[in-house]
Amino acid sequence: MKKSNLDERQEQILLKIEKNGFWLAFWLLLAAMFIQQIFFMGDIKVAAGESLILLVVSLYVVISCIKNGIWDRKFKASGKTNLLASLIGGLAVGTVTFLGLIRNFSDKPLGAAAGGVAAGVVTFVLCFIAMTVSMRAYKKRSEAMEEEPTDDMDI
Amino acid sequence: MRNLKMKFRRIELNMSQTDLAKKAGVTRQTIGLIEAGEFNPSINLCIAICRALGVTLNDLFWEDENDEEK
Repeated sequence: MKKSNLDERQEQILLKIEKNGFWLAFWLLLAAMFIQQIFFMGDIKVAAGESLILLVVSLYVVISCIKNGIWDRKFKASGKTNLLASLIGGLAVGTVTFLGLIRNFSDKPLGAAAGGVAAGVVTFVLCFIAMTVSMRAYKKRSEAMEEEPTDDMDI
Repeated sequence: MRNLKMKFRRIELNMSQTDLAKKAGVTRQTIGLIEAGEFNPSINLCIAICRALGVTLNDLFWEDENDEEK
């Protein structure tokens, strides 16, 4: 492997910069998708690229974390956490959908509200299912990794 | 390079990797990886492990130049 030009301290700073850069790009991408959803509601092609990138990145993060038995720095893996996160996701998608619909169909506020609620509920349910499945996979992996090795030479 | 000193000291105290991990405040896998020489712990974690095993940093983590070349 090629020797790094950086010393240990510089390496840690670079990792921090890369981490911050990643999360900045992640949240900005999500924000861009939400804004596009509000202004170009119904045109799936507008945010298709961003959606695909976000999906691939999210899958990479989730699979890598589960594989390494990692859930989160602060939040415990529990039904309560999943419920809260799904609720936030549902509320965000519901609000964005409502804003997009009301912008395009300002004469039908009730319809826009119903659309927002439907999108929010569907997102909430799908998020909750995805998080529950991920949590179970994480717990299984984590338990397997924490088992004492039977062979003394094992890690 | 495997940290056999740490492993032998743990076994000497009749501790499992899980016991040491709990005392040092890390996961069992982290202890396993340090013993296998696949993870370099921070100085703070080295101190926590030494305290848990009742030894000094020198006892566990100091390597003579000759040993390092092996």
